[in-house]
Amino acid sequence: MNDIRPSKIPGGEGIWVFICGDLIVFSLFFLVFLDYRSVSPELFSVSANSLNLTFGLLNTLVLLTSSWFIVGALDAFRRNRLIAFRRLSLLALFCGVFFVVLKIFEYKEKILGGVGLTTNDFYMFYYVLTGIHLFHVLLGLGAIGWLLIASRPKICCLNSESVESVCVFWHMVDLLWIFIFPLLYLVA
Amino acid sequence: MYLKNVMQFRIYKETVIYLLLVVLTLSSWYVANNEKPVGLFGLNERVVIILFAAFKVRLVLRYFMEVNQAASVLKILTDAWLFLISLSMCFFLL
Repeated sequence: MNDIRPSKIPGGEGIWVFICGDLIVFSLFFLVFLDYRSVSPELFSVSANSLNLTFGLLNTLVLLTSSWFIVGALDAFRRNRLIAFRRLSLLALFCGVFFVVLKIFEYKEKILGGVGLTTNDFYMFYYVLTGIHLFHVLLGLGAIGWLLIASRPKICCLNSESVESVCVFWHMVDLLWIFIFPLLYLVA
Repeated sequence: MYLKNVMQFRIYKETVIYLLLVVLTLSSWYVANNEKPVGLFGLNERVVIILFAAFKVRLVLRYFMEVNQAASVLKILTDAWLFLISLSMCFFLL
């Protein structure tokens, strides 16, 4: 029987040590980005205006929806509803894959337009920040995929802490994008 | 049919939070795209957008990541991080 109440530290201490480390690293990236922007605001403004805002907005909405599905999946897990847990996890996975597909199209559009990592400082940050974030999305997708595989025979094969860890990690991926989207697409 | 199970669970509050996050995202997009600068309480639109993002991050932390029901140390740590990073970003944009 799974515990219906959330844990004192959702997912356990280990995942939060990892999350705190990740948040600090990304925070430093954000501040260095803004520092570079303050040196050449014109260049950053012109470069940011060339980004496709529709992709950025869609990416944000897709990740938020994915997070919402994962909230439902965790609730279903705590109530021992295997089918609902698997369905909601699968929906979250689909949203994550959609995010990756959108990113590939966005990168393709930029690269075909002759914009690369070395074009200017803004694009260096654009590719590094979104690239590292994309790596986190892929890790999260792998973790959700693992949940789907591990829950196949019976839900009791998974323990509460590992499901919570995956959910918390996936929300962190969403949280990071919530800052990346305005910084790159709206503010710069 | 596929989603019929969703609302059977106790995620009503989280669903409201999700809708609020979507509204805030669209609001940020509107503020950034408006021809006329849209400030709030005398702040420039860039700072408003960052404050919207910080509020969204707090909602995700508190309700989706369940920090609201977690140990106090986690609440303090996440709030301290969010306060520091938001303040630092606003400092660069003012």
